[in-house]
Amino acid sequence: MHARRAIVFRRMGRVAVYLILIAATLVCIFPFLWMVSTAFKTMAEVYRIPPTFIPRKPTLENFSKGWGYADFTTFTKNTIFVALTATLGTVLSSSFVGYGFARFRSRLSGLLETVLLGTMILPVQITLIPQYLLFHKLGWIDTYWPLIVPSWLGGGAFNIFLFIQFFKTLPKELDEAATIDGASSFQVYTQIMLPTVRPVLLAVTVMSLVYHWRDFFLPLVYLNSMNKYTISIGLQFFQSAYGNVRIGMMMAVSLLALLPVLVIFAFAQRYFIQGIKLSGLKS
Amino acid sequence: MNALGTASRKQGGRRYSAKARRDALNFYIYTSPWLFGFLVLTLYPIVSSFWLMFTDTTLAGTGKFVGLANWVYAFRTDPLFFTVFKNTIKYVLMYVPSCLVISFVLALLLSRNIKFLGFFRTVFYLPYVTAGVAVTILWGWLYNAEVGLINYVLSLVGIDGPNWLGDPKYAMISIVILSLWTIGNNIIIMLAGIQDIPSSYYESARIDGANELQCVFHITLPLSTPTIYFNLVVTTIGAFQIFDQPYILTGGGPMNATYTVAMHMFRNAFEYGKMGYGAAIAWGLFIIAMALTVLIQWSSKRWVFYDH
Amino acid sequence: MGGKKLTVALVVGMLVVSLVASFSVVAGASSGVSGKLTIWSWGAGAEKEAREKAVEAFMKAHPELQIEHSVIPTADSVWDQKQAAAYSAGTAADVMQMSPDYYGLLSKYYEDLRPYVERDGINLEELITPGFLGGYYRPDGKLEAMPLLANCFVFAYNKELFDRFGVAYPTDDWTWEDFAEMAPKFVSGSGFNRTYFMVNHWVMPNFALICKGGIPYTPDFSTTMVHTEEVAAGLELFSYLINEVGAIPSDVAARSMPAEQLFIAGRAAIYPMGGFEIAALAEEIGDAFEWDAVLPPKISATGQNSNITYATGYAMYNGAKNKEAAWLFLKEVAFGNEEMAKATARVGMPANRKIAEEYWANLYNGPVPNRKYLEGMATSRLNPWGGALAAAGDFWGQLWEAVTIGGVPVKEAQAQYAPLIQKAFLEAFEALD
Repeated sequence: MHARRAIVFRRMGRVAVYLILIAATLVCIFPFLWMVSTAFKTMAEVYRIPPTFIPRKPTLENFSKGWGYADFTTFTKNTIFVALTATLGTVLSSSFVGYGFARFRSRLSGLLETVLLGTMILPVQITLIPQYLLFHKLGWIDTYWPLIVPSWLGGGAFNIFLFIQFFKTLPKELDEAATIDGASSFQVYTQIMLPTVRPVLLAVTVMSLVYHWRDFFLPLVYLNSMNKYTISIGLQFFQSAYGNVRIGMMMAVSLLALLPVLVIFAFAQRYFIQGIKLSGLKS
Repeated sequence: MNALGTASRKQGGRRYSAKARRDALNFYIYTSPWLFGFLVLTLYPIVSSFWLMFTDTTLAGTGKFVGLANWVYAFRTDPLFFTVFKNTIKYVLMYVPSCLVISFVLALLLSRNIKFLGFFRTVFYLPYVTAGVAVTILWGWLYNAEVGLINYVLSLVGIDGPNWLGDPKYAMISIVILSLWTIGNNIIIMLAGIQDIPSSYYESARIDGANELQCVFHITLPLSTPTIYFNLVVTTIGAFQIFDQPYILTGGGPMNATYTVAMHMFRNAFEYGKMGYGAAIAWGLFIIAMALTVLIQWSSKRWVFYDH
Repeated sequence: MGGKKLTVALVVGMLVVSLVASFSVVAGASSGVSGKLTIWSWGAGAEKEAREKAVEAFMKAHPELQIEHSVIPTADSVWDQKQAAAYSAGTAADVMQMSPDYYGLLSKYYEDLRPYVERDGINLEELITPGFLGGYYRPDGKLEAMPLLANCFVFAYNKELFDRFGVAYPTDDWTWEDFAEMAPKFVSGSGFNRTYFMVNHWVMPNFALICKGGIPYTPDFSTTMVHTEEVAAGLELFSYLINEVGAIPSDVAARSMPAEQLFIAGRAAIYPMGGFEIAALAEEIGDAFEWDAVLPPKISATGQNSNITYATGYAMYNGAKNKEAAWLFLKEVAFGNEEMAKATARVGMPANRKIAEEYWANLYNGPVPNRKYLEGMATSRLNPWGGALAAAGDFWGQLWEAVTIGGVPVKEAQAQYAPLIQKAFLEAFEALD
């Protein structure tokens, strides 16, 4: 009796899980599908009322015309360069710094951790001009340095803080044992800490990649030469100053632009699972 | 006995201080990239904007020291100062808790052994990847009361949808919904935290006869507190700076219902040319968000469990 | 043999080099300038293309100059910040696109162009399309930029909808009273079949301000006039059309959604069509329906058609490294280079008077001749809330929303916002000094 009820409950639970997942999927995917649909529509159909979900006369014109609207091939190359170098820096330096915060103490460490969080709080707009003046003094205007160097210097408070949180969950005994065995703190970092938080490393890689792929504020502020622009700047060329938007083309090129990141994510997500095995081993 | 105790304490103290010194040295070595970046690239702009708050600097860079005049202006004259803070806090209060709950629940489901796992994970991350000006514009379209698809879908099930962005009562909720749509990062981080919990914990709980829900509340939730804490802090900080969505969708309207602190700061600094006053608004935001962050940090000692 | 060939090649090579060199010397001598010139423009889509074409024409005319041109996409908030940062660091380009909308805020960085005009003995009034220059003069007389183009509005209308509802087509002589009278006739249906008289366009608050003879402020810039009866009447008109009749949709999302959709889909009869958008819209409408355009309605009190102008031009950064080349560019972009003006004509009325009147005016977008805009320009006024007056303009926007969305009685809204507008207005002029 009791067992049967438990089975019924479990089945209901499973159904509920899938129902929630499907509902969330619909919400997540609906605007995306609308974007895809718009990208394949002719100009006349884009504005039709009532709207059509499946284009009546699908066209690739938005893709071909949109790509030629600005030099998107160059923008893509630039974006790949910036995103990769910045992401590499972010993953390396944020885990390194996070390890320092999570495992070592000094008289100032508490204060510095608060300062670290504090740097996230001040809106970027208000420090923009002094920051710009500083980068100008360094000769960095119209170069990729302002977009890349900060990534190699900790990669932003967000990522450092994330690593702090994950390193803190690892039992201290783990590195103490290794230290007694004669491992240096750097060996503990590379051989124990990093492998254990592999899912986090991967998550930071993906998040950083997406962030740099999408960011348009800093590239637009610091890059002047058009042959240095990134994709996200290029996408702005579909929206005029007076609110008119080339919607079909904008959606088409946005789709092309997000495709690489999406594919990378689809491949990366399966390795998130590895975390379980490793954690299982460790205890 | 007493003397012995003191001696051992002394000895202990010395041992401790040697370790402390090594610890401190390591701390500075490992945090040095950030410390260097902070001192060289971040500190000066922060100090500079702090100074700006006490001046009447214009966009053209000229200005003089005016003491607390900007603050007097904020509290006495500016008719929108309290409105923008009220709106922003309203946004934070609506967005942050729902973001945490939704991302935790979805991450929980994604951590289970379900079919099409890869598909679901990709789909839930999709909005974050697509987010940007293009999709925000698309949402404005979807929200539209006259021709928007959301109200069309609602009308199919007999619901007369509201004027999402045009009605002051709904506008901020619409902005919150759009923001909730792009919580892919929160989900990933929650997921990484949940995945990190050793499976042996669940196995032994199940042997003790715990059901799934009990496992969630007694194992997953407490052991996820470090990630929940992380999400709480960064989401709160991010929410206080909400700018892009209302800037693109509503321009702060209707009737200032979605006019936020970051927008007010931007307008004053760059559209009205009052850099000094813009800095004052930014630091007002900083003080409130920092106070809340420190409060969360302090409270975390009571509810965040690090050691497994 | 080989030696001979080499000699010939050498001689030919030297000839070519010296020819090119002497040509460039001649060309350089013709304008008297040389070196590098940097230019920043903003614009998207067709605007971007037009700016690039215009600069290409300039480059063709001046091979002696080494030009670096960047088009910054108009991501509003970021452009504001980028140019402010670039000015304060001194990394701005020699020539910077500026709208009279930026008037006042960045004055410090703009070179006064009057000495250049005087030195070259140029009669600007003769060369530049009438009504274009005014916005670039500061109250103290400083000339801050040269105009590139300007745009005003026509009211495009869907003939099929007028036929369907049995309303006679509007003419250039119609008044705002006629406008109000025909509006309710177009209201029908519900949901996706709902029809409207006019779309909700961002320019509407400005038309509401002037449609009954109101003015934003006195011509001497001393007092705002938003508290007056005339302005109240304009607000009453739109409040009536939006809230009581439902002839215009009330929707702040009109900012972000494609505002033209209702018109293009045949659900709204009238669209206030800016010169900057007509090319794109004509393309979008295609042959979906018959349409035409008239001037915006007349203000009964003055008997003149109402209109609002949006304009942009180029300024010289006073920290420019090559001021002579910059001035050369400003002259040519405003009046001295017909190819540049023709490139610009694709997205608006060019400042080059000859090209505006003889070339641009004869172009058509769909059924609408550009001449219509030229006529509209005669009685148009510059967007009153640009640049330094942005704060006052934002309060005007709030007054507008209070009336059209909040349903606040006009008198009450005026009493609440007029003092705020006046205060922001005065503050703006204090900041100018």
